[in-house]
Amino acid sequence: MANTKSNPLTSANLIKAEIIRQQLYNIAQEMGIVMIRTSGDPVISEAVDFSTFIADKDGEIISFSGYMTMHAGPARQAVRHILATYSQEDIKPGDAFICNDPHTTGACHPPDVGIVKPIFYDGNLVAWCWAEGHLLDVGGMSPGGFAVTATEAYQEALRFPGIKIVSEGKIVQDIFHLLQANFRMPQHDMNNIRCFIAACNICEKRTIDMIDKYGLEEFNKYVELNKELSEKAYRERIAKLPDKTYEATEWIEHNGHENKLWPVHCKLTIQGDNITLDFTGTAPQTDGFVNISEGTAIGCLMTPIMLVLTPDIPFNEGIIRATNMILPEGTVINCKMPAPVSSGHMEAGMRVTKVVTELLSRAMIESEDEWVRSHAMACFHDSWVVGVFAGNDREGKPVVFLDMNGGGAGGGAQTVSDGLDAAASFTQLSNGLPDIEINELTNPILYLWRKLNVNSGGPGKYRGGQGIEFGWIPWGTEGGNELISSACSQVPARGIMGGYPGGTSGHWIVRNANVENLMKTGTLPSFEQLKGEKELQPFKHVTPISQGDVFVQFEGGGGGLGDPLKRNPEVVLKDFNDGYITQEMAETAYGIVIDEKGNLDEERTKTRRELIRRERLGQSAPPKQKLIVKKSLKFVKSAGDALQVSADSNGQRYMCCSDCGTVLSNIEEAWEQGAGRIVTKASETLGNFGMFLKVKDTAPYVKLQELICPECGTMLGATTSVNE
Amino acid sequence: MADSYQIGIDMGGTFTDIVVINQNGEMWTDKADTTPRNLIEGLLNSVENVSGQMGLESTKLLNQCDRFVHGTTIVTNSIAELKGAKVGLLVTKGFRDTLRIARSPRIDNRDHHKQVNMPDLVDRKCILEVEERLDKNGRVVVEINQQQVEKAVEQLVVEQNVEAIAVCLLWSFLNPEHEQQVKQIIETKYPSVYVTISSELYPVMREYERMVTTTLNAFTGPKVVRYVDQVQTELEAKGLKSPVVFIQSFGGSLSAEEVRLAPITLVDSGPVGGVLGSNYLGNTLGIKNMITGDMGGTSFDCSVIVNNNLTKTQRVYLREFLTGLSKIDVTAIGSGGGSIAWLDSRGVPQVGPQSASSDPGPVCYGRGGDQPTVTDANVVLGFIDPEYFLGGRRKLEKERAEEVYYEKLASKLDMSIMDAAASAYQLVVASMSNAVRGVSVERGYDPSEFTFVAYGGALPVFAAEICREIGIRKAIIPSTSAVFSAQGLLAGDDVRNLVRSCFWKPGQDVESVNKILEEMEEQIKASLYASGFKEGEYEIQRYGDFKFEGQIFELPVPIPSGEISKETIEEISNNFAPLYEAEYGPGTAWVHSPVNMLTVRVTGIGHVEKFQPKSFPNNPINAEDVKKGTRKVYLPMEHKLAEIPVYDDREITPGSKFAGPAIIERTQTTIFIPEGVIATMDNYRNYLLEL
Repeated sequence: MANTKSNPLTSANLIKAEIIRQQLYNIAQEMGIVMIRTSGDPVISEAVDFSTFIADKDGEIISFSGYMTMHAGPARQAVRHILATYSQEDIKPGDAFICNDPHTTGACHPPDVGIVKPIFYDGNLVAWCWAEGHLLDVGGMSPGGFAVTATEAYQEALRFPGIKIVSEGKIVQDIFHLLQANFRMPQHDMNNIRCFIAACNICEKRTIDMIDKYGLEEFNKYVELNKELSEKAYRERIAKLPDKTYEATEWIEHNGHENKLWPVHCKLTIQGDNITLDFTGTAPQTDGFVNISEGTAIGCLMTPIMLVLTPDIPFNEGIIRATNMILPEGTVINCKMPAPVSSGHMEAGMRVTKVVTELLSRAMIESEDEWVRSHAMACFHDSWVVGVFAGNDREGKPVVFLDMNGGGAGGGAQTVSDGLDAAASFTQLSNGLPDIEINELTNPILYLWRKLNVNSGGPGKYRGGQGIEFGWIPWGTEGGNELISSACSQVPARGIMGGYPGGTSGHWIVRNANVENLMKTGTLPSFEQLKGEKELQPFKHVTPISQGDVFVQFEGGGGGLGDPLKRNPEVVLKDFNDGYITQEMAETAYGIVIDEKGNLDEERTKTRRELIRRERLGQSAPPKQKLIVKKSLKFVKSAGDALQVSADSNGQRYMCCSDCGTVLSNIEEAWEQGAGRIVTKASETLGNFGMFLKVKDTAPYVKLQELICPECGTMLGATTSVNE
Repeated sequence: MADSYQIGIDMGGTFTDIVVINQNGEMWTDKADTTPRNLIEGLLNSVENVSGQMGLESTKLLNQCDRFVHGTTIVTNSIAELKGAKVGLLVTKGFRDTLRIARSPRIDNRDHHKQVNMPDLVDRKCILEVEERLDKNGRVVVEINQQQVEKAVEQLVVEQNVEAIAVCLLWSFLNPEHEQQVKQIIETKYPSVYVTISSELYPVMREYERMVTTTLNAFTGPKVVRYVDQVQTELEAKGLKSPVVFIQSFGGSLSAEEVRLAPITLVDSGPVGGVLGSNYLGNTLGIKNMITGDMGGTSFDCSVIVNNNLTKTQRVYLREFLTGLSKIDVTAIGSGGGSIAWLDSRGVPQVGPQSASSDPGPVCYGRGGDQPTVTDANVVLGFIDPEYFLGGRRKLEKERAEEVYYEKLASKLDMSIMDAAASAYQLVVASMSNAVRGVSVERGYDPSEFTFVAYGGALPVFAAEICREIGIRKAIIPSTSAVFSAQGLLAGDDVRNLVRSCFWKPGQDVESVNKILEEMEEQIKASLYASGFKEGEYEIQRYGDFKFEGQIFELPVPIPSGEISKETIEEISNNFAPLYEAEYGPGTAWVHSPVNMLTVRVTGIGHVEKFQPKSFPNNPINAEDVKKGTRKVYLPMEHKLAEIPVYDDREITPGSKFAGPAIIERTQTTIFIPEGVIATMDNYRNYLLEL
């Protein structure tokens, strides 16, 4: 048997690098556990709305715990800002800095308060750590921190631009006094800040123990090696994508003041093992609370890179530094003072996440590598639906109730399965929703229902994940004000490979529903059973809510994957029987026929599906460009569910319909040019399936663009667009 | 006087282990194949096997048995494989999707192919809503509609043919009236249907985990009831006079009657025997603080024992299901003898969690395995003698193990085969050490004050290196390391455990607290009396779960016995902050928030007599005299080849000492003693390793 040359140095290097990586990851995880255990705040401990990171002395991320991916950007920016604003002598052992200012420390929005701590070894700065969580209130004009009416960041919150909250081991009481004077729930928030400090302290201790064990030189060497290992694997992954450019646009809808659309445009360019994300063409910043700063934009665009393209590669600075980012200044994705930002991460931020998810997926579909192709996915609904009740309970005690059930939107469909139900926004790994009993115990409300939002999942061969919906009545309060904010109501999350977008989010208030009387007569009403005026709410505003009213929130679904006519009819029938879709949806979007006994009529299903395909052909505009290939073609590889690559005898490759083999374009060109096109009002077409999509009734309008195979009528791509 | 015996049977996926001990501490161990189609067969075979070994009629053995403890994986497997009864579920109107919403199924996995929706434990057609509602004070807001319940039950039983019905209504733990009415309707009309209502099984706040717990109980119930009845009947027919008790995940055993009501308490009881056994061993040897480690084919389980108290954990996950169960806190990671070494996308070696398990098993078994495993690495490195595996009963194919390490790792990493195997060894040590660090250092314990109890066939090769990695200075390799878990079944008491929501805030009176505690105590006493325990043979422990208002985490604090006064509970509440900080760290107490109680727990412990294993006098032997020879071993931590002595366990006597580097070979396991470590055999034939 052959024996290769022994090279223990290399092996020792790799193994040691991996052992050190695991230990650093463990430390970041332990910080997370400390946060969960010591906070005890439901927002942190149950909804897991926090993040922990470790960085090297220059602020380059070396470990990340796996909660809330988008905070990678803010974590990194916070350290950079501190390094830029404090001289080296002023950063001392035992210091800790408080950061929540989107404009300087990159925070997603001011309620996301981060504690950053330098770690010293033998008097030298060797590393940094970050523990961050969402606080219930940080002052400013709006309880809970979502300042719908703000026109400037000055109004939104008390902002901490990375200043010392602990100085050489001693808590700076001045900061606590300041925060006490400005926050609505200072006690609660200060308890949480203490827990972030505790997490940083643990990290400091463990990191020092590690350096004690390995020595500083070794520690630094292996930290660097790990960045290189991740970067190398990432570049190899990029090299598996085609050398091409892809473009897409998403839109922020409504900035709190007016219902306009603000484009977030991105161009993805792959060149060898280089990747560039260029956001030129994105709207200038606006005076509503939907903007994000550069730090947040980096975290948001890193999210799909982590979760779609490199879920198997440890995340660290190696990945960030190998990503070229063009984030034009003064736009909604890299705003400058005084642009308001208090909902920016859910508006501009999640549009960035969605547009990059789509672009990566489109490129991944064309990879030669099967793993890469299979990890293309449809977008998550990717929005966190806000409802904040502010009022007094019966004893006169003030209540600010941010319902963490807002994290119940659906996930995007996968190439192997339907999307995840109640998945939350894409960034929220480990998301958790509250128990009804816990929410009722601590807040003056009584839920009438909480269930899955029927028809919310984007239709597809694999259906988008479903959102949730719930309704409650004031219970033990005279009423109060409800702040409503929904980021994704008119422009839905896209599907992919012929799958449709998911349904969108919103709120109803049913006025004078008189539920208490119904309950006395033995009825616990459903939405359908409610009498009274059902008002579909404007999607960003504050409205009074009184006894006798019912507050209803519904959350959208993820995009579908693949033509819904390809979904196994038995599975469609099961979705119907399980109560996930209506008969209307089963018939119109999926084209199945259910007979009187509730069984599947296979013959008529076949006929109906064929009919739908023919209707599509009848409605569609002809392809922009029709390529006639006379030579016989050979199958090369699949390219997602809808497409395949075939080649002629000269080796020229073509993108073809995977159903009938019809050539759409040369491989070098955009296959969309060769597809038939149906452009309709998105709210109408999806509405006909029985889905909810809020109508945008003033220009610009939201359109659905269905791209079909000009020969067989199979859906190749259903995307949204906007026209005046 | 005739001998009296205690029998412990630990049924695993592959083997059913049996341990018999008599009043003189003489012990017999044996095993039989587990028979998945008809579990009782394997159980009876194991009894036949051991009685054959003892030269005793099995009837006689059973007849003279006064304690019969059974650990079964029937509940664990039923849930792991999602094979259980067809269940109907009744819930409050408006909340039919609670199990599916599952407080969000999102996990921390970055690969969205691994993020999957919750499997349906209950067919969606069999989840029906009941028109009724209570509020947070347990007050009826909407009266229950009896007729509608009757119709729903009929639909479940007659149309859907469910075998079991679970009932979980909102706030029922505060006022069980509605659930009781539903139960009565079912039991009156369909007495053969297995019913579980949440207010009886787990009357605790948080409807999701209450519903999961209730549903899983109904899901596993019918099968377990049949099995428990069968075990009792068949063993009685063979002469057993004592009742069979079952090991539960909370530690200790439970009577058959209790198991029938709450089969779910048997889930995940697999690792319990080893932890109980460790603590018993610790008590015998005067060791108070231990970290237990068990390495099998697919996983490594560890747990921590402080002051001879087992660590418990609440609200545990079963698969992806969050339940309200409490159990012994065991951390499991995917590092076992069968764990596979592979290269990740960066080209960096990894080990596990994928495992070749026992079928096809490691490559060296020659049964079709083609992926390099941890066991293969041990063979390549020279730790395991291919000629002496399981005492020579199986020959291992070292060549093949080397080939696969070359092909899958060494050739790709440009390193020697030995270094590739050493990498796998190091990574396993690292991940097991991380797990041990998780249960010790990360919980504020200093590992140097703990003894590592290492059992399970595969662990003794790694034990000393794990200790070295995290600073543990003593390890024990128990004499029966391979069947240690079965032996441990006999080390536990009979335990009853109840938990119930019970709200109390400072300033409130304590009438309802006393009432609830008394009811729970009565229930526990009745159950212990039914199992034959008398006054003075049991103890009752009571705990209240307290927390700072606004936080979600609770901490169990002992409540003194007898009727409690307002002052007593207020004192507990006032003294809470330091306890909380001791658990969660300095500065974590929300000192300005009131301390409330949410839940009470009552545990009853029925003391049982345990037979002490036999002790052998010291009679140290010279190491040279028991040396089988020397072997070339590639020391994985040092990357160097060394010729080290191999000793035969059978020849070794108590008091003997061995200095590393050395190997002690036992029929079921190999113990590696690295350089600088001394191994001493104690009077019970355990090895004590000192670092």
